[in-house]
Amino acid sequence: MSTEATTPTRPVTLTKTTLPAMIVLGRREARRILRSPIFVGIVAIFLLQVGLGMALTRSWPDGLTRDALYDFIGFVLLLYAGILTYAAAHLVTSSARRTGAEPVMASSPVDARSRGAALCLGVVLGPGLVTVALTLLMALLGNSVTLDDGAAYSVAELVQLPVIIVGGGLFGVLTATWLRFPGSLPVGLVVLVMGTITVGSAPQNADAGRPWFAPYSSAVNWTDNTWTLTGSQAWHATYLVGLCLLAVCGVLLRERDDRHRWTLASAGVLALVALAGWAQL
Amino acid sequence: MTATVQVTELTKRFNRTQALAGVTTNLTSGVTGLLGPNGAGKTTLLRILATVLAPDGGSVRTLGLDPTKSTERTQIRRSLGYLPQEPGFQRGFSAFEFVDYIAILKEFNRARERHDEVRRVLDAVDLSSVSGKRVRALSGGMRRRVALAAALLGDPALLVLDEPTAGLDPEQRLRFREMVSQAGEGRAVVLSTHQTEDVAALCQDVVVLHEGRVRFQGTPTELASVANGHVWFASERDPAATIAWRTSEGLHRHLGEPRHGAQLVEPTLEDGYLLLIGRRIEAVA
Repeated sequence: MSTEATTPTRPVTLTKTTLPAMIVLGRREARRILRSPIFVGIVAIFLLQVGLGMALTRSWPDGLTRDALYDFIGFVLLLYAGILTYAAAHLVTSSARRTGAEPVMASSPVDARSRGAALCLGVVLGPGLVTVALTLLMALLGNSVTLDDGAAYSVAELVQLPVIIVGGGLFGVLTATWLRFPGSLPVGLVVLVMGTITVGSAPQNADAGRPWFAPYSSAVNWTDNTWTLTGSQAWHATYLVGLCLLAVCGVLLRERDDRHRWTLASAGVLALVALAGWAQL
Repeated sequence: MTATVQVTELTKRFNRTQALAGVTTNLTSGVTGLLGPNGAGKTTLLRILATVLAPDGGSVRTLGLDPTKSTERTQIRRSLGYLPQEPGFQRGFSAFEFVDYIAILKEFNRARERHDEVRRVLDAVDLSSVSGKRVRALSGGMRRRVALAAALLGDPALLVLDEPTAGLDPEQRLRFREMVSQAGEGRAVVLSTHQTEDVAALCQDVVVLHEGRVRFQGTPTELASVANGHVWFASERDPAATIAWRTSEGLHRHLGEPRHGAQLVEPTLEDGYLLLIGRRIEAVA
């Protein structure tokens, strides 16, 4: 019986941390999220909607003008993109569990926490960058649009658009990471939508500041509510970024190893969210 | 003399089931077969060796490293290939994409090197021609080879294979044996199986697990010799035998304590294994 220990003969140079692999994985997860059938299907629906809109010339009597495009992008980002990103990110995150691929992944050097971080990075690099590009397009169009129903979005309002889409995706990663049972996608979706509607609904006298705490855009153009005139759009954007970071901390806290460090980080982020939440009012 | 894996008094419990009840063994380079009936603790032991599962008690040292320490566990995983009992594959992945995805998890960060490595391991398991096909469209045997290819990434020092030949037809099993045999040259391979023929054909060392304990460790020849003087043929079934079955020649092959004058025959590894496990079962009954 031979008793000599063997040593690995890998064709690559090993690094001290798994961070580079996590970044490569993040790029791969971004592609997986964007290639999700949800996105592919919905892009087809949007293209159809654009085609129909132009054909029927009801929504856009003058065709796809700058104003129509500006409105359309804003409408899509505010109404659909967050929920779709949530669903796509949830499906990608839970795919290993649903298909039984976890054991192979669990024995790799890139551990579960790094894989969770890579999924969060994937949300930012995938839907996040696409939304940033669309928002930049809106910013360019904003200089020349003459909208019937209000002014163009301010910079702080535009910044909120990619943040809420990224937030939707991060919430998808968070729920799939913690709620490891079939049907967690619709459960998380109901919590996301109903929570947003409940918190963000039209203010009553006593709680005029409440809608600011909804994980959603406070753009005047979109909400058409007078409460938005009394707070800070920039601080609301900061508040939304804080919620995104809180979701990332929630994903990283799933693993027990070295949890105290991430608990401290989460406390710091929570303080930021509280500060921004107060400052936005 | 250093063992690749040193396992000492390992215990693991799942609710009321004691999966491992103090396993102690050393695994060295070459192919080691884990034999045992269902529920013996083979998969639990392999999952612990693959760092997928943490034990309740006892210790494991793999390649001289302690898997309970985070940094050392990462180092072990860098030198480890694992084929689970029922490998799963994400939907929509082709064979190449799946192995490529696992290669990223194994820190092949540069695309060109990674793709070269993926092509190498797919070629090693003879799947180059179907690398672009969806994994879910492949046959069961091909899927297991895809999973084996993923386990071979990075030329790991330790390969952990959980029932690699389960569900394969005879031709695929022979092909698999060839691949595992090649993989076992210059590294440690631990494989669990119900197939004693696989152990006899492949393994330099055998560990028999039963009810969460090591019942035997030695060479296949030593396991066969457990049944020396305990295997005999007779034209009629002998009620004194522990186990007996009718062979294709019409004779009855018996394991147990032979009567005086019985026609003793040379035992096989399967005889040794059956006698070992049979005695235990008999003792419990």
